[in-house]
Amino acid sequence: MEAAGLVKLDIPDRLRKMQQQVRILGREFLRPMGVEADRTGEPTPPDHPFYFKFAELGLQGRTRTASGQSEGERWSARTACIIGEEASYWDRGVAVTLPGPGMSASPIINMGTDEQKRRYIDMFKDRSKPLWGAFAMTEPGAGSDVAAIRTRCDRRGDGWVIDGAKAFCSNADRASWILVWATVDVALGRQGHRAFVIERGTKGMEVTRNEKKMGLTAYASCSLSLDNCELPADALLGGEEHYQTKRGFKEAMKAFDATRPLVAVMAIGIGRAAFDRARDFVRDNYDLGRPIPRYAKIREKLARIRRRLDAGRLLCWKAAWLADQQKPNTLEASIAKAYCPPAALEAVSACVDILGDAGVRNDHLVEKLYRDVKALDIVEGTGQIQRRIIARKIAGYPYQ
Amino acid sequence: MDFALTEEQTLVQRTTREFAQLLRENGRQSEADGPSATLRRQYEALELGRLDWCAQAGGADLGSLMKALVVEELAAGCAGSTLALDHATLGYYGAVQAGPRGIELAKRAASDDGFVIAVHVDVDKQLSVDDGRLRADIAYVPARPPSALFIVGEQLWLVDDGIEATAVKSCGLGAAGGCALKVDAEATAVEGSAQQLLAHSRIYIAACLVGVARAAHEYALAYTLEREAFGRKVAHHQGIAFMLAENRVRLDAARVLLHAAAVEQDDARRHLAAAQAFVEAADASLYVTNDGVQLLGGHGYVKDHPVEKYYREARTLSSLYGGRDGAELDAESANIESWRRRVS
Repeated sequence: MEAAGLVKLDIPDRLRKMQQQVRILGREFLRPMGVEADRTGEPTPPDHPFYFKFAELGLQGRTRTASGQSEGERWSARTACIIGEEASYWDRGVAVTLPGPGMSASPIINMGTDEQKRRYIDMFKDRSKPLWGAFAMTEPGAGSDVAAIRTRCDRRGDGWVIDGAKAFCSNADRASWILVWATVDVALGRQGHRAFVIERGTKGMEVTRNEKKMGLTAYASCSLSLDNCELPADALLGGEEHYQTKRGFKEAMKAFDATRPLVAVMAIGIGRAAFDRARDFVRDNYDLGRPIPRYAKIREKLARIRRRLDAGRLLCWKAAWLADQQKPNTLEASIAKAYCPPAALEAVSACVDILGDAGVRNDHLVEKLYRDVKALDIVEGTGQIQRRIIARKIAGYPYQ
Repeated sequence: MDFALTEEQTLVQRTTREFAQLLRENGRQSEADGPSATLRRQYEALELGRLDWCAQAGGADLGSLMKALVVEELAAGCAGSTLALDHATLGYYGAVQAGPRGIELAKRAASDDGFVIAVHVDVDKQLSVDDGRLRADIAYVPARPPSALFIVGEQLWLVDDGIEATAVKSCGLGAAGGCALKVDAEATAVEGSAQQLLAHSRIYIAACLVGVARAAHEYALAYTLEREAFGRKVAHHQGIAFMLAENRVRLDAARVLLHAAAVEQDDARRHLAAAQAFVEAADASLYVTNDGVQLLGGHGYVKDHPVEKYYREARTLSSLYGGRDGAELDAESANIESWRRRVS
């Protein structure tokens, strides 16, 4: 009466080894770096020796994207989930700062010209120093409603000129280039969108602010100003013909479909970190077999946390598996993203409860995790946006 | 890491879904009188009953995942009819623990529709055993009067004589029958694993719960897409759309845990996974079926639509085999036990 069938949920040995490597890096570097950034209130500096070690190991050439193309060292979506959860377990903030093209990898690889891929993706094969790319979509007045971005792009001669402002752009303070989304005409909505790769030092683009966040301090969330920023024609991602259809916006959304399971599973990583800390605390301090009412609540909380984190992880893996099969996964990715962050938040909050008074002291890890985890229900589509997407998929819920 | 179903699983799933449509259409009648003779014949012809039974008991040995897929489909048609038509399987999960004698009991239950094996989990520790004589008052089992009874307590017991059954009506699952049992009889201690019995039974009921939740979700979705209010489809009001989305999220979460439990091979991990799957499925099903009634408004409350039936079925299923709380307590213990294993 044993299970039969193809469904297999074990992590293959090869991935386990990678997970183990991240665990070692996490224990030695990511966790201490994250705690230090939280203590100082400043992002981890880009010249931190760990980033050089990361580059030296050839890890920054591995993108965290998930569209399933087999290009060189790209990771599958499932691999990204395993690595992403483990890195986030040790510190999600530092995980975001890991050198590489970040979220921009997927649109550049999917939409970019051969020259753009060579110039902006191949550069990460360099092992001599850490390098970053960045992704700028969100604006002060356009967060969830990304179709409403107002940063303008206008033709000027053979090139373009960009005017506007961007917000919450991760790693913009250290990026060699930033993928900036703009519109030729706000009234056109998504059809007016264009993406540009703007290199560091380009006149008119300036990082104006690093947000002071309540958590995830290790990575910089930057505001950008784009003021009469002149670009050559070849800065337009994919070339003009790419935008004659609706592909422009769709490609951006495809990037989110690929990374949503990854962000969702990062929430699971944070939840697991809190769970392990609370579990160790309980194991060291309490005998849960004793008939003390509070112990019964603790047992219940720990079981619920584990169940919800297990379910969330499986939802992410399934969405990632679909991506690897080149199958549509918008619905499953949004389901994972809708489920995991609240499950992780509940987990961390319950762990604060379990630790009692100590749980709210800010020299205790779970207190930091409580501040960190909230961001995951906001970034890459809030929980409400995920529910809109799910409703659109299952019930034809209209955009407008 | 692979979520693909085999061709065989997909085919069986599809075939079951077609049959489940008949269960759905006859759901009200079955709830009053049990599944008709025609439905029973059709079910027997499909040979869905012993998919996960071992070969020794005449089963196909196709595994728990195959069974979970089938049970979800059947229960989406009518959960009570599922338990009625497949009563022998729930008995089998107990019987298989009792060695050759149990296998014979299970085979008899499979071939003789009048021979029912029931299983009861003594979550409140109310049974007493004195010199091999077992006394218990069992308020409800979702079955016709049983000929044999397995009781899961501190130890696994088999009683096959001296069971006094009184028919009772239940909140849901009327098609399965229902009775209260009074036992004052000689009992045989069974050496088998109560944990394995519980794991299989919980996976089965979790599959029923997922099926019922899915049926409620699909019905409410179709209804809210058809009906209009304030000039647009009910489903296209954001408050309603979010309810539908939330229901789908909970349903999918329950199903992935169910499938994870069904494919787990290690006994200890399976015990934990099955308990987790039961709790998640119970919570999801209670949530989604409640929303199912809510989304239909007044129509959801009347028997012209099936959502009130799903609502009652979810409540009843969630109480079986020690119920949601029993499963949660087991998950809590297994969770803590898993740390100890890791440390040692």
